[in-house]
Amino acid sequence: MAASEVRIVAFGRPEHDDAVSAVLSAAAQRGARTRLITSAADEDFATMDHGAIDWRDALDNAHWLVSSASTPLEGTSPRYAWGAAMTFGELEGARTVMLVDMPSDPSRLAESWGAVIERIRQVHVLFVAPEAIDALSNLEEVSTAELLQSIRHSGLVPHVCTYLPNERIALVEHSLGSVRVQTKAEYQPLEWLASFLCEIPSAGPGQAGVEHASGGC
Amino acid sequence: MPLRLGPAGVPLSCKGRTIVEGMDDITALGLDAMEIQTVRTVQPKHFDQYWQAGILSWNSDLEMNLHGPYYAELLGSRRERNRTLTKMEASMQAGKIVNARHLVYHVGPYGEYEPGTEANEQVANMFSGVVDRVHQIWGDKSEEEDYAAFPWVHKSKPSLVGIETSGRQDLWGTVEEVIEVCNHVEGTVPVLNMAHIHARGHGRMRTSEDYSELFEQVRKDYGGKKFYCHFAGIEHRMGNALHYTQIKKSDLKFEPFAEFLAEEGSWLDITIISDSPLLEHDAMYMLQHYDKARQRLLEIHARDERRIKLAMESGMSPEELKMLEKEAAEARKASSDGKAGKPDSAKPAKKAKKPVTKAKGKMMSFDKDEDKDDP
Repeated sequence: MAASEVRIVAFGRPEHDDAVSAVLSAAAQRGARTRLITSAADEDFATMDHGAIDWRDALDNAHWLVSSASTPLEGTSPRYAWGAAMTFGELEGARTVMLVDMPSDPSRLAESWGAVIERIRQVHVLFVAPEAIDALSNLEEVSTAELLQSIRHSGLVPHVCTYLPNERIALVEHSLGSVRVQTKAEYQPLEWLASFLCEIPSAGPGQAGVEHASGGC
Repeated sequence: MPLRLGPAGVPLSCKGRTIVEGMDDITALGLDAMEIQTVRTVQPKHFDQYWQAGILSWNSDLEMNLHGPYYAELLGSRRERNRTLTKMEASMQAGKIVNARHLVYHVGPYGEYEPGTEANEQVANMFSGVVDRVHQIWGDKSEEEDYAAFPWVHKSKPSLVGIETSGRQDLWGTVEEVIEVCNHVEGTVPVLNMAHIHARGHGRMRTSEDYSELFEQVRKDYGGKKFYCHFAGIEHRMGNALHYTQIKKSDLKFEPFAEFLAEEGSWLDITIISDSPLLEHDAMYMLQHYDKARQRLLEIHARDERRIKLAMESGMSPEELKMLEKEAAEARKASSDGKAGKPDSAKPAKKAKKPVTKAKGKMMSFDKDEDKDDP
């Protein structure tokens, strides 16, 4: 499957200034077909009419649904929409990508992570932003080295990953093992995630497939 | 048969996110159990919710249960063990406040232990301490006045400690291990996670007979009629659970379980918690399938009764009817054996004509008459 055949839907802010929009735009540059679901033009994101979104239509034939852990912190309505998106993703066959980034108010990470944990069974790819790794390790009371694996094991998430841009290292814990590769190209973390989402459907099965999708040398 | 069904957590469709709001939704859906997920930690701010949930549960028929930390390491190093026990302690406290009937715990990886007696003894020791602690928390006489508004603390029995089966080969928790420990520690009960048992057994739960065998094994080796189960779809490989899925997408089907419950489960007192990604949707799906299975069974019984009634009206005794049915069954069996054994009998000869019709230029199809050959 070429990147141009990959369809990615995301739910995020209308201003396109959040992490999910960054993933969408990086994926679009690689040729993926992308769509942002957000509030209507005449409403505020925090108080949007979440019931107006036709998730069945939005997720029709989508491969990935990208969501951010910070979105539920934006307000009650975004939180409902965020949850509904994942449930409809599960029903429609779109795989949920959860991006665990640092909220604008770092003290609310426990709250955003708690919301993710409640729905961990609906998550297929969990990406931990590098800046959130230490704080999340503290919350989970595990070392940073064990963090991804412990999340994978406790939540049975098929892929738990991160990208360390300074070292160009991609780390992926997956159902069949662990991958740690140095990427050929330099990426920003969200660019790497976009590339991973575009590559993994065609990368083949098993460890080799995950390594290939991770952009290993 | 008492059967309680419910989701593992606040329903996904619940507008609010508090436990009490979740309980309201569960009741409205016609479900009657809930398992609270403490998952990571129990925070003091949650305790207000827990009290309310406890009161609601005490005043209604909704059974509350509580799941302890997901990532346990009871067979790990001293540090890992203590970390797990600290999290468990918080869930034991919460269990009392919420009037939990079961506290469900994982054991975690085998760690330094080999599967076997030594590991089981260690787990039994740990759970013996956990049960003691639960009884200590529930039975504190000095707190009786403080808890006057929460009658279950004095009137209910303490929560049972559930030990959950695990879904991976490197985790402690086969059915046999769980039963062995539960047999040695009073106050513990096995928690049969069907998705885990199915995954660990390389997809073993396929027919209602498989469920019958499993419950028979637990009944024989552990005893009792009270069961606490988890059910969800699961993706698995090489005896390891990979990912929870909705029931419809899994090779672990609920229909055989429903069939077993309807046909042979009259002796059971069972709670089934849906921990599928579609929590309450799949709990409802299970309820529907159980109702259907029961309906089917009732129809069969009604048909049998009617047949007996008609036979009696025509002057036949039940014994004669039984004899007649036996003869008819034998004749049917003989005729089907004869069909298989004699390919040149009258009926197959008739079927032999079929290819002639097919040869008239139409596409080949698997028509209905050919299907009749299937057993």
